[in-house]
Amino acid sequence: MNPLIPAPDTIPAAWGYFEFFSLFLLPIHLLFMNSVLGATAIAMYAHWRKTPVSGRVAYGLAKMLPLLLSLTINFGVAALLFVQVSYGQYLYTSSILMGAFWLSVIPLLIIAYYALYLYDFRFPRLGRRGLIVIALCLAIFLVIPFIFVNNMTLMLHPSLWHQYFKDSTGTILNLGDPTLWPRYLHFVLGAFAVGGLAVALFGRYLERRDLEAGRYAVETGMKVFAILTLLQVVDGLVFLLTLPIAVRNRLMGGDAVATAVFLSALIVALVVLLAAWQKRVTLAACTAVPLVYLMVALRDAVRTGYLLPGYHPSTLKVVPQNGPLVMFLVTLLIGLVVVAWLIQVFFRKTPAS
Amino acid sequence: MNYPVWYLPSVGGGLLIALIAVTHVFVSHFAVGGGLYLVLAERKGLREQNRGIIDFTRRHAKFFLLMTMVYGSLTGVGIWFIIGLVNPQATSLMIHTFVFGWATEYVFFLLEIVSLVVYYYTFDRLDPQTHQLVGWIYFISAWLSLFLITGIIGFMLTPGAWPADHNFWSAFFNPGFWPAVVFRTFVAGMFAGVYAFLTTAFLKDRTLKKKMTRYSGQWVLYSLIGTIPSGYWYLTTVPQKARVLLDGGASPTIQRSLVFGFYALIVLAVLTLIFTLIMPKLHNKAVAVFIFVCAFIFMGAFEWTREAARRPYVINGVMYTTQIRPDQMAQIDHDGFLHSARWSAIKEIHPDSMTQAGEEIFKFQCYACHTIGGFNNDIIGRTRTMSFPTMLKYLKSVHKLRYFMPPFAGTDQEMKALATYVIGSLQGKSVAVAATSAGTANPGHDLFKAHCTLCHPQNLVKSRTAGWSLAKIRKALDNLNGLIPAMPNYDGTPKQKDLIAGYIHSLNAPGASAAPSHEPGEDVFEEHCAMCHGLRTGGNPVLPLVKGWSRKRIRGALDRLSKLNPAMPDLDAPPAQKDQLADFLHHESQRGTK
Repeated sequence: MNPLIPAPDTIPAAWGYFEFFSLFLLPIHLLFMNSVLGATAIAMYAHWRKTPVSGRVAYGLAKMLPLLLSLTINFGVAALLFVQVSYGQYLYTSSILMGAFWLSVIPLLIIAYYALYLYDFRFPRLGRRGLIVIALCLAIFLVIPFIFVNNMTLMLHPSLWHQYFKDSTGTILNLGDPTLWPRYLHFVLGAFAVGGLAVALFGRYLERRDLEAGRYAVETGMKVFAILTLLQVVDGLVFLLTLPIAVRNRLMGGDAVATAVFLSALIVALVVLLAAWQKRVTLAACTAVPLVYLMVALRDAVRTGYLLPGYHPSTLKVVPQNGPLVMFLVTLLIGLVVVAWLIQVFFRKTPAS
Repeated sequence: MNYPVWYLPSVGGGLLIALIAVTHVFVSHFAVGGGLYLVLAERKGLREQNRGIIDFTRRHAKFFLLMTMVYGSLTGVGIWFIIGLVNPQATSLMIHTFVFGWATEYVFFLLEIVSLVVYYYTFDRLDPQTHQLVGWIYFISAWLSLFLITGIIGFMLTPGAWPADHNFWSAFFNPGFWPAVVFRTFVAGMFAGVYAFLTTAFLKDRTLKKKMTRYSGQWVLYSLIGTIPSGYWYLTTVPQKARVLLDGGASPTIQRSLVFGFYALIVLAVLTLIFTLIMPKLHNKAVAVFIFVCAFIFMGAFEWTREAARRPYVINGVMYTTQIRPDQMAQIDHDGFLHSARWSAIKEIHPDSMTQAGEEIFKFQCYACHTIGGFNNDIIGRTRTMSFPTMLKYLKSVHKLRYFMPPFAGTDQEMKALATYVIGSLQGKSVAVAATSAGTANPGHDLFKAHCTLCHPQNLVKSRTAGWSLAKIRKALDNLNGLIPAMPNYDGTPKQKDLIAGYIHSLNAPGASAAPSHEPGEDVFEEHCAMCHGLRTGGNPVLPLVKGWSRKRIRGALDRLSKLNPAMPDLDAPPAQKDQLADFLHHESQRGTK
């Protein structure tokens, strides 16, 4: 065991709860994040095309983006909370090693968030200058996952942590890791692909009041989705090959659950690809969501592979807090009901009065 | 000790936390009070069938959305990021103890986002009753967020029974919980009005502007009336030792912060009374911004004080700011700190690595609160008057002399290493221990320097004891704590006390038996000049510069140092000290020429 790995704290419920919450919430965060990235890129493209139809699509996406970003952040917070519980001793350490970059996520997000509101509220007035605003957002949205991928991989490599003794100013990145770029590409290509699908879904919604713009969004979105999903498969294979043999073997027969997840993901990915090329939006959406869930489970299996045999969250000492757990579950249930009601209210038709 | 330290010595993690946290709480309280304000202002517009009020509410909701959803939300996440980077051990404890509290709070965060977006985008689209209901959902979610977070962060100042029973509910419903919830709710109401002043200042319709400004003024004043008693109630729950920090004047930073906060609140109240309630027609953008700044200073002072009052702990009684638990101290003192610190690059001390080891210890034990040459608690400024033996003595009893300082953790050798780094490397002074035993010709002066000047400049002691008899000074030395509650008693022998009393008495009675062996100006020189100048020799000596100068010319120069040499800062000392310094330099200069 690497002596630099800090001693963990106790956890207030069996580790499986936190595993479940992470595996349930992280995909939602990723789906929103993908929508943000895809919608930002397509809004920029549509804005750049300069046609009246594409302009309307860009404006339509501009109105959606701030909300999508706020939900991305919200679900990201939840995912980050639960990962701290199970892997805090790794995550805090790697975050400190790259503290300057890690903290920069906050100001970057503030800038991007305000820029998105500017793009939304001032869309007509900004004109072509809007392109600069949305390009800035896109640039930020490409940098942030790079920071995250660095941290999420650095935390898995305690053997690289000794770099701290040469540089304690929080500017260490995990650039030497061969999986870094394929992994980053895997996230970003996947994000653009699923984002394209989200834009296509948005197009379906838009078609009801603006047929032309809606169709434009559907076509562009599905084209992006199809091409990038194909590229994603290629990059996924590269990513797989860059993984350490011990980790890779777990996915290919070494561990029954990990292998089952891997095979399921491959099959679903194939269906998604078919749906994409046949431009079947609903089928693509219905299969892409479970695919993201499977990918997150696969990601978890890879993390476990990296940390074993030294660590597994099941070894953490449990000091149960049943009352607070119930408080959270009940609040979550009530909260979801209220959210459902609010969404229904939001889409309610305007009263005649 | 368990984690590495993100080391930015000239910036300091504390400053980063403060920058993010203070601006966050300033917005997050608005996010609560402002939510209620929106609902009630809209209701006012509906009841009075006043379209202007409804339009105003809608415009204010946009401002509210941009402030709270973007800046408020992200700085909230930012606090989480920064405390994990600066104080990972305590953050880990807070996350693992309260994960279900945080998770519950997260649900309300989700509800806030969804309900606020629905509220803002459905103005005029929904029937008023449903729209109001959405607004209420937002406010209740926001207030419940406040409720939950108050329980969690209040635990850090007043952990109550938790250290004994480790029960979630003991920690959450800690002794400070209810008063803090009430206090923060009133503050939230106050800020609702303060932020609304900004929107009302932009209203063009004069009647509406007057009406809504007065309405907002009532929010501020009524909430302020509730803030004062609830603030006092909150104060009564603060542990006794922390109270000494707050009202005993033991911590200079808290003192300063309290003064700022107090005056900001007074100015806020007066401006609100005059410009928004008595004469709302005079309200304008400048007034709105001024009140806004006052509210920010008040909030900043409160949060700073609350954070500082926890010291020497990051979680009161549970974990020191050094991220060491009190129950770990004995083991660390025995085994050595460097050996125990997982992330220390140096594990053993050798005579030739004292400075490096000292720097390592500084990084892990001092940097949490002290910078090197930075804005926050600069260690260079704080130790300027200390010699190596004084520093060593100080480190041994730092936690007794100053309650807000955690005890040094480690062996005597490690303590010497730290003193070597601070005094030898940072201050550039001699680290020869021999200086202690040699002393000066005046043992009273030596004792005074070793025990008193850590906290008090000599001139302060001199002015405070002016007119005192020797017996009165001697008696006071037996009961320093009775004199000032924040001051620890001096545990020297009666003989030592006699010597110190004689010395202090001599400060105001030149020529008495224990007359000082040096001039008071020498202390001023040591405090303000010695960091850059030697006297006769050493780096950039002063006496050659003032050779042949009259006393008057020297005194005049001390008032305009930056004009004489732009690279030099002005002397930040009272005129009396400048006089003493001028006397000293003049005498020394003349002595040098004779």
